[in-house]
Amino acid sequence: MYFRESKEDAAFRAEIREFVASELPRDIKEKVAHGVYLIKEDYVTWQKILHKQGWFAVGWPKEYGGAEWDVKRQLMLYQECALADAPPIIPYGVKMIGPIIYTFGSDAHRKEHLNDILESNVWWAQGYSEAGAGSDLSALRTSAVLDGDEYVINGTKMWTTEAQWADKLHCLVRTSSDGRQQEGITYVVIDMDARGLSVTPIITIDDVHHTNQIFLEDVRIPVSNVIGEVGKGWSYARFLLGNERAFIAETGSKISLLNKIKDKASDVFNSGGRARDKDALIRELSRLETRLASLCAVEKGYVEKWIADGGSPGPESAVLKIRGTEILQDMAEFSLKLFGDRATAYELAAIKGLGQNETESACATRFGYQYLYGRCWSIFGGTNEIQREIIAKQLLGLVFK
Amino acid sequence: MTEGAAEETLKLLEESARRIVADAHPFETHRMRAAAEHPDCLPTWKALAENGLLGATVAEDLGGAGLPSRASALVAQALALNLAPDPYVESMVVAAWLLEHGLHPNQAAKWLGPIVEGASMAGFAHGEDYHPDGPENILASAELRGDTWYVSGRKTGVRAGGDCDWFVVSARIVEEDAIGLFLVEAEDESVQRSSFRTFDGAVLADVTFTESPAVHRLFQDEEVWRWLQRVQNRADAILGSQAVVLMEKLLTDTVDYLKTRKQFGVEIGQFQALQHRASDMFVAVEEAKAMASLAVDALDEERDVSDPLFPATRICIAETAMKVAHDAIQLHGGMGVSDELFISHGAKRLKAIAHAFGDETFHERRHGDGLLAELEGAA
Repeated sequence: MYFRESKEDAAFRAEIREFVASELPRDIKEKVAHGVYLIKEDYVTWQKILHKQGWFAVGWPKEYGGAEWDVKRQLMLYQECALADAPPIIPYGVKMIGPIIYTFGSDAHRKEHLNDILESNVWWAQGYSEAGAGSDLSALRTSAVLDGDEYVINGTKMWTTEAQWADKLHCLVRTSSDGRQQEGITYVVIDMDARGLSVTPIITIDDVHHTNQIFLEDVRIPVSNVIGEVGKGWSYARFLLGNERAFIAETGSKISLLNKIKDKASDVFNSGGRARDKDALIRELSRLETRLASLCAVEKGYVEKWIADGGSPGPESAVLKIRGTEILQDMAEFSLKLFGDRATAYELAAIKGLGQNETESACATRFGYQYLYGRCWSIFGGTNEIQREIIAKQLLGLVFK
Repeated sequence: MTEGAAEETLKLLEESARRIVADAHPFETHRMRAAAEHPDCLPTWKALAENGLLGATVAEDLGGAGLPSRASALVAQALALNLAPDPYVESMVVAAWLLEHGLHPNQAAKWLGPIVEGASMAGFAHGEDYHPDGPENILASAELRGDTWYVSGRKTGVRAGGDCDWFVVSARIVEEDAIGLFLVEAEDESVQRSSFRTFDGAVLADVTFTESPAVHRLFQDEEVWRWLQRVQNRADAILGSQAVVLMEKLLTDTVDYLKTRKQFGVEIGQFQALQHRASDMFVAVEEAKAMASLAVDALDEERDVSDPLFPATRICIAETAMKVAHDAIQLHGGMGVSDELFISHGAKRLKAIAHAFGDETFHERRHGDGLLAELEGAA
């Protein structure tokens, strides 16, 4: 927003835009454009299209089937996909376990998993949080006890998003209780159909089943399912958290949401709605647009800095997480004001699919869905308070003996 | 000049500007000066001129260094960081730039030479009680009699107005139903000036023109309001840069204080409530820095005069600068409101910047006007 790109970048962006415009299936685009809940098949279909073009694992090294794009190009891809109403890429495979496997896993692990991740043949879930280990993740207690050439796993994982669709779980388990709580954590892979594993839905504030609790009762996995070294899981998870965060601002989808809000505001004002509140609403909208433009400007600067520093995102991504989620929440909250008496409309059918005749309450519902689900964003992936800790300690040096 | 050489030039300019201004106007001098009933408005002007900094962005054939707009931002930042009150933004970034572009080239050389050398200074006489948000807000008038334009009206809040030798004055030309810009001699007996000091140690003046003869009409037949919009954008970007450097300083000072000040037997930076506030200050500084940087670079691009980047930058700056200023005061406790530390002085300067060339409400309205036009046009 508000800035000019080099000719080279603009050409690259145009190439992506053209591709997405011609290859994104119309029915999927319609669902994303309207803010309708996507099913597994929608994501998989789109990811396979991207892979066929060589644009799926764009951040991976070429030797593992990636495109080795720098963060700037990756950002452009994600932005253009979001602006064209393509589904977001589901991160659990390609952005999380994939890089962990090619970085820390064995050749056997690479052979076993990487291709299925690239081709979106296997859906992964992420088993990190537990009931007693949220922000204090390293307090996790799910145990893995060695029994011959198998580990026996007992415990429970919380907030395993889309686990209901998953084939495999990448999971942090405790293999030792000695030493600091960060030690003794091991990274393992568990098949979702393993005996003793069960999935219980958690319905979130938006009345939708996105996430789950997983129960593990005497689940047995071969020791070969350990990724990397036993007891090093925490450092791998930290590596992953750093890896994941370059694009955490998700500016593409936010610009897209702002555009939709502006379209709606345009309809409201042009039909004479809220005439006496127009100036006040415009000012609020100006503020939102300004904040989003600031976020994009910060993101642009960081991407340039990260590339100059060698390509990996630094702790500054905490800034993107905080502001990105706050701005999303503010925009979604604002959007409800444009629906007047229907602001709180919430018809589940409108979330699940597009109707033949789109009603005003269906439209309001989908902004309400954004608003409600929006409350999750400042919590998952490291709460905004954890992000403030990162800034205080790693960027401001507020560390004391 | 290659990109690397240009970067090096700017880096050297930044270093020398900061050193020169710090030497001419150290903090203790500021404290004494700002407390005076009639503070000196130009403590660094001579040093800036002698070191070629006043004309950093003025064209080379007019006596300047012809550097990109970023150079202006760096000079302005050196002034802000040292709390110097000199009217660099108003007199150089705005008034001198208007002379540079609004006079015939031969005339421009004649006027810019002494200005760049610091021998002569022009002020920007534009506001009329409030910062004008449209041509209709300019009530001062200009009338042509014989070959001479005569300007009448009252201009307010002219920075360092008491020290100016010339004023670039905006006035309504009734016969043409247009706004004109005129160069008027400050010492003319028809010009009356009344100065007042500000809480950040600057001096502004209300200036009354009564049939004051103009020596030049700038931009002759061009649409002057568009030039005034460009001037607004220039001020937005440079003021934004000034705010950023002060915000960075206040954050650094605050973090240092959190690391050393002890209460309840521990450094107060150990308290999470304060850590999180400091983190939010950091976030605010990052936003302001990114926006101001875009705005400064945009000055050298061909941008529409009503590009939303500029008001957005000011909205962002107003919001983040005052958050940082007020949190810096709060986290310093009593010392934050004392005159002894930089904190209170930096905060006051940030407030002054937030009100210069339009306040937050002004810029919100300005940004909103563009947004509304976009929304109404979308139907």
